[in-house]
Formats: sequence, C-alpha cells, structure tokens
Amino acid sequence: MKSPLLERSPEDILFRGRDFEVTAAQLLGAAKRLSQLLPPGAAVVNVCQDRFDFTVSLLAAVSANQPVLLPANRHPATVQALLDATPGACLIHDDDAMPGLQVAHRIRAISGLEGRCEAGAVPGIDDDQLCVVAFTSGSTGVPKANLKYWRTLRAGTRVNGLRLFAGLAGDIKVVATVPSQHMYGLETTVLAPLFLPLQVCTARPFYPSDVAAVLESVDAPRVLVTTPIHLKALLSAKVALPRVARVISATAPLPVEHAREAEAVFADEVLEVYGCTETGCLASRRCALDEPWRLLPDFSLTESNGVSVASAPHLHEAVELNDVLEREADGCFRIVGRSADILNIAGKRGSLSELTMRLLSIPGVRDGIVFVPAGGRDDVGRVAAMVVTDRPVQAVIEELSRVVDPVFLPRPMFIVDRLPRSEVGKLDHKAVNALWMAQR
Amino acid sequence: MNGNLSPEERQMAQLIVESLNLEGTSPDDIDPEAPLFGSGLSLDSIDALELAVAIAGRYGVHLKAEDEETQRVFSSLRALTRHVEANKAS
Repeated sequence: MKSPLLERSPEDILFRGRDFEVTAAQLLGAAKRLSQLLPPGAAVVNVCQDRFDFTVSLLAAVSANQPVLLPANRHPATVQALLDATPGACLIHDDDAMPGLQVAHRIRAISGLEGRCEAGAVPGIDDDQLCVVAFTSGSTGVPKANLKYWRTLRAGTRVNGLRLFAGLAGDIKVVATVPSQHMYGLETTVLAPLFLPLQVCTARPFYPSDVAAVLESVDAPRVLVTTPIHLKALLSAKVALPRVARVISATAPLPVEHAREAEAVFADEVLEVYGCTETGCLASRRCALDEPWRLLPDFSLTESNGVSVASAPHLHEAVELNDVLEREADGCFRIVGRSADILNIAGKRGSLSELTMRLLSIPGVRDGIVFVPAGGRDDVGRVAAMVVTDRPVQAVIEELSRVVDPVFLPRPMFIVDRLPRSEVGKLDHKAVNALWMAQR
Repeated sequence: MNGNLSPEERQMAQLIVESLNLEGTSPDDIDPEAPLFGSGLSLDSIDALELAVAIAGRYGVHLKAEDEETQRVFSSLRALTRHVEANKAS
C-alpha cells in the first residue's frame, strides 16, 4: 500500500527562510535532485542543521528507499560510532561541522531551489518502508535504534494534526527552538509541513530576542514549538513578544506557573505534550489548568506488571513507557512517577546508568555514581557525581566530555573515599544522598 | 591565578557564578581571558541561555546570535564584559 511522499498543493508554502519561501513543488524538486546524487542503497546519516536542508535530505533518501539514520546526539564520537556500525553509509551535512569523520560517502545538502518537480510526479512510498532510524541513549551504553516506518510517520503526523495544530484559523506559521533531528522536532517541523496545512520557519532561534524576532517576522496565527527551559528563558528575559496562538511545550515537565505566565503575557494557549521517541507525541494537556493528560487520537494505554504500555495502530509495536501513569475517568491520566533512570535535559535524552557506566570506564576511576541530587536548586535537572579516584576532578570531567553531551556533565563532581555499597555491591541510595549532603 | 579583574569584570564574574549556580567557583577564580565555553569554565548551551537572561535582567542588554560580535562575545569574561558595557543603556 503506497501513499504520497507529501500531500500539499504544489504552490503551498512549506518553509520560510529569512528571505525566501519554499513551495511543495520546489521541495520535491530539490529532493529529487539530491536523491540522484545518493550512492545507491546506502543508508543515509543526516546531520543537517538547517530544517530545509534536513527535510530535503530526508525526502531524497526516503524517495530512494534508503533509510535515514539519526544519531542520538551531534558529538563527533557518537556520529563516528554510528558510521562505523553502518558500512557504506553516506553522511549528509550542510555546515562542514564534522570534518574529521571517517565515512564512505559525504554529501553536502543541496540548497538551490531551481527546478520544479512537475505536479503528478510525487513519489509513492510503501507503508512498510523503513524510513527513519532514530537513535536514543540507552542504559546499556549502546544507542537504541527506534525504527520508524512510513506508515508510522504519516499516520502519526495526521494524529498530531488533530490535536497539536488543530482549532487555529488561518495559515499556521510554526517557529521552533528545537532541532529537527530529534523526534519532537522531526514531527513538528519536518513531517508536519508535508501533510498539514502549515508553514515552518527554517530558523532555529536561540536567544530570547532572536525568538522574538523570528516570531515577529511572520503573521498570525503563530505556533511556537519549544521546551520548558526555553519558555522560561523567554518569560524571564522580558522581551517583547507578538501574540502567539499556541505554545507547544515538550521533552520535560512544564511548571504550571510558567504556562500560566505565558498565557497571561503572550500566548492564547500553552499546550503541553507528552511523548517519547518510541511513540512520538502521545498525549497533551492544557498545562495552565493543571488538568490530566488526554491521549492523542488512536492511542491506547494498558498496564502490565505495573508498567504502562502505549499502543496505536500506526506503531509497529507496543511501547513500555518509562513513567508510571495513573488512569482517570474518560481515558485521561496523570503522571505519578518519572523514570528513575531516564533523564531529559534541554530536550536531550540521557540515562543515569549509561552516564555512570561512562564514568566508571575512565582510567583511574575506581568507583563512581552519577545521579540527580534530591531537592536541588537547579531547575534544569542537572546531574551530579561522586567519584573515587586519585585523578583531579577536572581531568575526569574532561574525559567524560569526550563521550557525553555537555548538558549531562556532572555539576558538581566530588571526590570521595568510597561509595556506600552493600556486601553484594549494591548502592544504597539513601546513603548516597547522605554522603552527598555531607560534601556540600 | 589570573590577570586583574576590572570592577565591571568582577561584577560580571559574580553574575556568572550566581546565575549558573557554579558551586565551588569564586568570581576571582575566573581567568578573564580564558574561554567560557568548551574549556575554561566549560559552560554549555543551557548556561548560554540562562546567562543571556541574567544579562538582560541586570544590564538590559539582549544578546543576539546574529550580532557578529556575539561569536566573540562569549569567548572570554573580558570580551563578554566589554560587549555588555558597550551596549548597555546608560
């Protein structure tokens, strides 16, 4: 069963750059040209930074039935490990940021917009085609491969359209602070414009004044796709913001007060979204009302041995969720416990056990633990660490920084004489916290 | 340990330590010419955002990625202080 690579009219605007617009026809033309440059049959590792380049690269590969691999993060070491594990892979980039990588094929994404693709020539993609493999940090230290078939990407986008982008009159303009390479940004800035009536700004603004400027550069209705940390920064910086019809926030819990403040200051509505790479967007709620979560259409939740399991017709397998959910009336739910191991900092997913394993792999580290300190002042949710070693802390951090994303570097890291382990080597977490408090 | 910090640099160093919760770092420990990101203080992208917010609040200066100088603005405490001093409302 095949369906079109995109379902927009040829002259619909899908992307807005600073001084250019891209129509559906132009996007298809660019993807077609790039697909002709791909080494046949090669898996494609897509590290493009710009949303348009990223989308062209994705569509080029999908139309050629070549899977797109998305590394868990942009650390050269992570990307190299993925390339090493994928013989014959082709790296597609748009900014020459990782020059030292060893790779069979390297292509720079095409940015030119010449050459229309004739209407009626939209490639048909098989529902069962493996399109994307999204890697996430796993507790074993080896990134976990999350397989995304065309059916899932297409149907998931339709489902998102029924909630995330629903109920807004006019041509929606999406401005996002999140990258396109992770599931949240992939769904909302890459897949969304292919199937839903909206336009996506290619910019990825960072500083509050830049976010304001990109929002100002488009007309209403505006939808801001962001994260709790970025939303808080926007509110704290007190930049002048134009009216935003909807703020979508995901990747970490959004404090209710921030949602209320955003709605008081510049947003008609703040919609908090819950999901994960395995399921995509799964549920939403109007955070300011502190209401329970509502599953997105087509999703269902069951429980198995105290673990919540999500499923949907468009997911190729049911997914065990990391968090503990408590179901309420009408299929709504509350999140009563967040996974102890999985972290999400600034939209990046990590695993405490993986971080601990990396720490223990450093020469000279005899014992160690990475953990989230209880009752910290830190809104960000940073990790801390205690380590048994003769090496200076700075040296250990430096070695760790070569293999983990900067946001997961322990802050602070203290050296201790020993960790409170039982006779069988298990760590007593109460004692760990007590030892931690004694260091401060 | 470092070159002398001007009063403005010391005030900025204090802001960095406070706004980023850098436990165990004293403002006087910060080398004014050392990188803030990558090495030196090893700040990351979250810090950049939080620092930008703190600077906006204290000095009324709004950092922008497009501002060419921003590439060098975060290159050291000295460069950051100079940029903020040059751009703040008097």
